[in-house]
Amino acid sequence: MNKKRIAWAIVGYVALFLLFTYMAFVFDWALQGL
Amino acid sequence: MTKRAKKIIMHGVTLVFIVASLAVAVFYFGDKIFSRYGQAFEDFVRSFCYYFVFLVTGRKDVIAQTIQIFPAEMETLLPLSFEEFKRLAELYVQLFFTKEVFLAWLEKTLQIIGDVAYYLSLFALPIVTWIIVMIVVYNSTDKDHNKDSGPLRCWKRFRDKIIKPCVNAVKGYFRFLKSRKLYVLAFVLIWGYALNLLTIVVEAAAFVFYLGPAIRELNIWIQIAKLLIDFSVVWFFFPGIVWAAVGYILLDKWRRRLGRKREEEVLEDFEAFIERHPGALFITGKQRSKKTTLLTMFKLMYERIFRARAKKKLFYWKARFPFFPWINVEKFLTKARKDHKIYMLFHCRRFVQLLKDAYYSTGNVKWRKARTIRRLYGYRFKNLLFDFDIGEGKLAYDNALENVDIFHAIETYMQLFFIYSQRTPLDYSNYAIREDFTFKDYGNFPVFDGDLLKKTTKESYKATQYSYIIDYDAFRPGVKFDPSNPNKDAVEYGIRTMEEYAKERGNKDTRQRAAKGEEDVVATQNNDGYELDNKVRGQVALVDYDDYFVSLFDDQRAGSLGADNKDLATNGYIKGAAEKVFLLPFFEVETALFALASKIYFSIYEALHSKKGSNTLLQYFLDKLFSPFFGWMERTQKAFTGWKVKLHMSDGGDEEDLGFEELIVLEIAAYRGRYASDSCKGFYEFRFARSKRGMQDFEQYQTQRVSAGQRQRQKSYFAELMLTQNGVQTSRKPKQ
Repeated sequence: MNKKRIAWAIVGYVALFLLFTYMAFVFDWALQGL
Repeated sequence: MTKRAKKIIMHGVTLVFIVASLAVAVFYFGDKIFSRYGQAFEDFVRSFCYYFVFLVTGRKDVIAQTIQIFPAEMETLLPLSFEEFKRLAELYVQLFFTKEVFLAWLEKTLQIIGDVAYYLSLFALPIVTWIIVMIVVYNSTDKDHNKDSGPLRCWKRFRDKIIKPCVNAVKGYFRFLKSRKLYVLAFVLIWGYALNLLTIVVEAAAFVFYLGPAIRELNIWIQIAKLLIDFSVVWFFFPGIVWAAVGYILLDKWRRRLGRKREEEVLEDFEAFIERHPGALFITGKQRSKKTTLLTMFKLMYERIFRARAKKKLFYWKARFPFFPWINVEKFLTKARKDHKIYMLFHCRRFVQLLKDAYYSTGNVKWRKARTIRRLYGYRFKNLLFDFDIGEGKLAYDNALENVDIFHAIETYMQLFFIYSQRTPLDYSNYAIREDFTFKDYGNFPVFDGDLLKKTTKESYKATQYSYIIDYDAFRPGVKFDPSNPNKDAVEYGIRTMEEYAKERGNKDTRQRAAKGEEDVVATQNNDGYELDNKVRGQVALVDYDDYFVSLFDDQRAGSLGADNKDLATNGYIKGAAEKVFLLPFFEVETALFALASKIYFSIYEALHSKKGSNTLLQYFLDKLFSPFFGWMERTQKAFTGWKVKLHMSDGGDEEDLGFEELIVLEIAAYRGRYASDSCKGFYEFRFARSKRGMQDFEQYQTQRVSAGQRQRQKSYFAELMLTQNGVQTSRKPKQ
């Protein structure tokens, strides 16, 4: 695998991870509101 | 300690564990799960009765079901109906795009990043100090080759005295448990109960019974809510790291499955390629362009395609004559083949001819002919139709084109089965090709397993078989190398695979010529009739309209092969084969980590290896950490790596350009010890064996200038020309 592809993939994974944390955060927020 | 005492202790320890588990189950989990068990069992019993009452009476109101009732004491914010779900989803989406929420999340994320940075900076000083100490400690040199250093000896003593006994005790205990299923069952039940898993199992069973009759009025939201609440017990019991590990293992399994699927598609591409280009294939390309790898891959695919074709046709014959005892034909043929009574397709045909002849004879003649068949082939069935009960079936089949009689069916079936069930590879080759197919055989119909991807290394090598050594005399209808060669008439079907083929057959400029007077006695490429054989060979192996003979060959230049050979094949010139593809998805993080770890490990190894002859503690721990990671990575990479091969196809006959094809050669299929890419080394080994000199014994230049003497010592034609024209004596010596 070439280095550029790996770097972009890892950036993608980090973005995905952040998105998941945000989704969980919103979920938590919603539960507290209820 | 005696064995008996050990056993008593183990029983005691197990009992303590069981009691402790029970205590945890009752006192820690009791409140959370106990009422759910009652409800789950009630749900199950009611659903079970509900199902059967509905089956018998068709009524749903006899038994009141409870599975769709959400227990009052279970408080939840989860949606219990679609309307609720919609409301919550809307709320969620609304919150998702609220600035305030986003900013709060951002603040929290930054705070976590700040915390991590804080702890890292806190530990930075000791880590840097440790690295400096390491560099200082390991900077000295020694020449204690393969002797353990002091710290390493110390660690090994600690390992032997403390760690090993502990590990052995734990291992011994698991061995003890493994042989006592009752204890294992007790643990499974107690922890299954404690972690609420049994509730989930019972509720699932209840749901299965309830689902059928009540599928129209089902409220799936209640079931989902119940399942999530039941699962929350085990979810919250284990720490996050355990779930992270479980998640990683599942991800790994999933991505491997995806990778395998991609590889299967790659193999299907090969099959499609073969369908587009049936018949002889001539692969050409420069040195190291993976010609023979591709050739071997084609051979592996043909082996599987031939078997699959034959099996499909066997099953067609079964459908045409469904009540014929085909198993008798198969078992008879297997035995006759083993006894070397039927060892060619030709014998299948001759046997059925005799059988048919005897069947349609009458009286004494019939009896005599049947006896001959018994003697010749060991045929032991009551009638001449393999014990076929004619009342059950028919003796002919109309396929809209012709009326196929049962003897034609038997003859074809025997030939197909002969090829399909051959336990050895179907190829003759001029280099060794390793096969690893197996048969699943319960003593009835053997099922061919030619899987190229899923076998473990051990399974693959256990099934190792090599191809048959080609005997070119079998393909020479004219003058042969050896006129009394017993193999000369033995080839009927198969995959003929030949590397460096043009060197064997040559072209009109390079073919050998026999000495005068020996033109019809000594075999040469001009009088052996090989090309004539090539042209009709396909017909020889035709069974049930399929050809079971194919020629595959390679060489560096197509022009080196004579037109009579080249024109019969589809030519594929390898334009490129250096692009590596990795078929396992979502593997980038591991690849990056591996690159980093390799860099660190190998640079430390190089430094330590050059400075220290002794075995150091640092190296020991690095080995323990890195070596398993290296092995895992290498195995994963090899299992999912392929090489993209770009082929320029052309028709040998009319030179028509057939465009480009792209295939991926998989390492797991083509490089699994399939062949030696240096198989021609055999020609050189004896020369090396008699040599008294190696590279270090050659003369080296002393300056940048090359002297005339040095030129001459190169044994160069160019130097000879330059020097002898100027009066220097030639260095060539006549052959002794």
